[in-house]
Amino acid sequence: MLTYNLSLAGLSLAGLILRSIFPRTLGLAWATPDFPLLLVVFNAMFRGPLPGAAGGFCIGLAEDLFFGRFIGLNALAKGAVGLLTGFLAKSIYKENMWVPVINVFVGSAFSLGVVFAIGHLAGYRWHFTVVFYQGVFELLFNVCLVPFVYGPFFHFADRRLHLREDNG
Amino acid sequence: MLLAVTATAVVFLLLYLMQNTGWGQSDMVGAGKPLREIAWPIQRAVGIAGGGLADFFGYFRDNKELREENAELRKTLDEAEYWLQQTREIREENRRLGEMLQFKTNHDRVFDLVAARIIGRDTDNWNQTVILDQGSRVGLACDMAVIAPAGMVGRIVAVTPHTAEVLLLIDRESAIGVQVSETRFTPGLVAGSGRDDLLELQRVSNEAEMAAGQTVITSGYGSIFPKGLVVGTIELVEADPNGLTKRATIRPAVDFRRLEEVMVIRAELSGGEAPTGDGASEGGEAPTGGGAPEGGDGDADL
Repeated sequence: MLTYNLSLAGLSLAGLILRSIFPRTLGLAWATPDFPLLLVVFNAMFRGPLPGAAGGFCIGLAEDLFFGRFIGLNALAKGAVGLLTGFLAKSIYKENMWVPVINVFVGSAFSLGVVFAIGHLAGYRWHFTVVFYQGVFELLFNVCLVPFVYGPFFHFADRRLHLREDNG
Repeated sequence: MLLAVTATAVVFLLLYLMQNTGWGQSDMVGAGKPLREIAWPIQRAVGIAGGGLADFFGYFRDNKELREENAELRKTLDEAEYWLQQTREIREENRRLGEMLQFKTNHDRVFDLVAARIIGRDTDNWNQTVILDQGSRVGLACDMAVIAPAGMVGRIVAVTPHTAEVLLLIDRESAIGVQVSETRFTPGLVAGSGRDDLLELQRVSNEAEMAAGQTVITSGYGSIFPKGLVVGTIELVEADPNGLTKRATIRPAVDFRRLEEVMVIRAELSGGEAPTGDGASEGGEAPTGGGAPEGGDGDADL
């Protein structure tokens, strides 16, 4: 478990860096994929609601600390996503590729909603149209990345969490 | 219960943090700075690699754009070249037609002229003929003289309602009575030499006053070619092997290789005066109805 958590932390850091250096010109409508969110969703799928929420919270907090602004915004949003995904994917057959795709879709949309709502509460005045379009493209980006990321993550989680033994 | 209370407390704590770490703060807070310090070498390295990657993809994107732009420009250039060529053609045609109009104006009271465009040429090597786009429908008939602003072209040898065939001066079968403009000497018949840029004047008397550079004009003896139209310039005069006569090579005034429009003399108008000041009338002779052939050159064309 420790190895899994450390690996997840390392992957999260890599995801953060990747997101920070992702060429905007390669993005869609200046949106870039949210790599940490993928990890949050996948982690919650395999570990359930509370560990998922905790993982999301930690990854989100790391993201906030990494960028040094609005500390807590991503922590709350990703924690909520982890919690939601954990509940949704609790008893779903995870080998089906549509499961992570739908989870990432729902998680991305939920994350955007939470970020927008919390940011609004915190006094951040975003323009709804900009957030909406950027959010839509980010969501599409995230979903498109699932087939490439989920497979390796599945094998990684399978190895580290001994899913088959637990299921058996 | 404890978990819910903790979670709520954390949420409020984070909301408080958020409000105090927004853009209103002058600097980063908390662990942001150390984390960023740890991450910067990686960011930099990956950033450079990412930049290279973006350049790599950018190369293909730019290449594709350049190809498209190149194709577009090439198309535009082709169109521009086409229109430039069209403009040149029109300008050249305009010049030729202007010359013809000038000629026609100058000869209006002397000749009844019909302008015609050459629409075909004889493709074999045996005949030097061209086809005009006017025929008997506008009054053209066989043996009518065909001229260009520069000089004589030939005579019509066949007509249809819409076309006329012209036997050019450079054809070996063509023959035309000529006169040396400078000396008024009438040496005989000029005919084609077999080349498209030279005519021959054969069996000229040894006493004839002829020299290179002199202008040869139509003599007007005969019923086809009016008097005074320029035929060409004497280029060479040489003695025949028999020692009794000599021959002259004449360069036609008309460039038969570039001939595109001509005029047909449909009729000579009575009372006309000698047109002056253009190539076809350098001799300053008044066109006449033709007289009796001179010196036994009894060809029907004379």
